Amino acid sequence: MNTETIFLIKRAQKHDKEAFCKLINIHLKDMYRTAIAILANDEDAGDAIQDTILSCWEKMDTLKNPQYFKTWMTRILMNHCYDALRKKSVYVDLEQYEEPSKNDEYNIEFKEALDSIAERYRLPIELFYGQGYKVREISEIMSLPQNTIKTYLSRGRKQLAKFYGEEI
Amino acid sequence: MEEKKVLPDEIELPEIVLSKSNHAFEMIRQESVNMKKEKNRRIFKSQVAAIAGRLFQLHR
Repeated sequence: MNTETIFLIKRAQKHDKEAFCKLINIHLKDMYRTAIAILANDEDAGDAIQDTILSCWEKMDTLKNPQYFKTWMTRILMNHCYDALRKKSVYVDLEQYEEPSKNDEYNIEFKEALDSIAERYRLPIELFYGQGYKVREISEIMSLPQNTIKTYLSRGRKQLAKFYGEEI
Repeated sequence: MEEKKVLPDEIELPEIVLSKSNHAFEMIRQESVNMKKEKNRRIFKSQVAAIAGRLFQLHR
């Protein structure tokens, strides 16, 4: 994490709303990638991101170490995404992207790649390969043992390899 | 474990995501206005309570 981001986090913790908005904008694409890995559609991802922004603003005081901001925020986002899934009680399957809605015309290749792997492997694959998280960090975010994360990454990678038709 | 990019790097934020995040930012900006009003209201209340206490003591 660079010094500018740390500075923004510290300002945001002192209720500087513009610093907070700037901080979120820095992470917005990664937030979207995470939300899509769980929810698989843009509208729900937008709702979860909106809720996460508001939750983070309200809870900025509770973040003890600015270095952990992204991990902390990702965990909040993940919880909002799973809440949304529970509320909808809908199983999101691969067929959803065969006929994308108007809102889902973005990032088709990314969504198709995620769709090619089993649901439980999508988030660890995205966090590890898409955002550069370490296995230990993913283990903390997902509250799963590190060995489980390693297994998920290995299996997810194999499924992705089939999707690309090549060895990864 | 090898950190190799296996998912597309280039992502475009959909309009709906931008719109909803901008709405959240507006709510935060609006909330801070409300928070200031609330803080001022609380200060005013505490000042009234202090004056009332002082008057009560003077009239005893």
